[in-house]
Amino acid sequence: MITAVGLAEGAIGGFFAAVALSVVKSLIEGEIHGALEDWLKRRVRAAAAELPQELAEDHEDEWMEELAERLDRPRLALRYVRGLSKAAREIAADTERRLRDLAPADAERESETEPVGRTLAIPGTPLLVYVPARAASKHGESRPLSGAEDR
Amino acid sequence: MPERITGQLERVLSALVADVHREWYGLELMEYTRLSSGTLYPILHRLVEDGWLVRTREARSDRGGTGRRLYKLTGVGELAARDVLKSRELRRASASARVGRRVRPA
Repeated sequence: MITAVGLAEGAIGGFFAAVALSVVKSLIEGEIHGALEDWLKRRVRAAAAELPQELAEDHEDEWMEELAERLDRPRLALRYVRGLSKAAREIAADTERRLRDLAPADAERESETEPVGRTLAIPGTPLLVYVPARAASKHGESRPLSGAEDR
Repeated sequence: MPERITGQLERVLSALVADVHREWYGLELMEYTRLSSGTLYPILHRLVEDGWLVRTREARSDRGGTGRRLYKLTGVGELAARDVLKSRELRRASASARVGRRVRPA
């Protein structure tokens, strides 16, 4: 037979069980949330590490900052982080391509800024004349001074 | 000048041109253009490298970080973006006119 005392004991027990359960639940949730946050940050760092060194730190800061705004919405945070690795690879490829495209232009510019002239002999005399590259190209490099030869 | 003018690039440029004085940060642009981080950041990177956008750092972060990175159209970028959007618009208009002519009964 159920007595009033039994009912009261049951109610108190149920109350404490509910409190204990909610505490455990929030602890587990906190634990999961913390672990997820750590994992997301690791993914951001890993994505940034795929970038060229001169870009990595700045982009990592940018992405961490923006991830922080999404941490309260785990699904969006996951989607955000998932794209970063692809973004990093594309940025790295673009940077590499730009450097490659730039390299021949730089070499050309260097040769322009360091003109190499030509030393020409004046026929019939012991004299040598130095013709700067710019002057040589102005007069047409392919057409040397008449009868003159490089010595 | 970006190599290819894609639909995604067009969406980013449209957003930027809508308010040329506005400074955007990545998440804002992602939400506005509905592009993923994997698509948006490479576009922003290319636009910065091409001199269409300027990238700055927010003065202060109240989230304890180093501050958001902000993107804003440059003068050159604004002109170029308007030009790109206009030419895309014209191309679309002429394409739809061609389709219209083709389906019109003789």
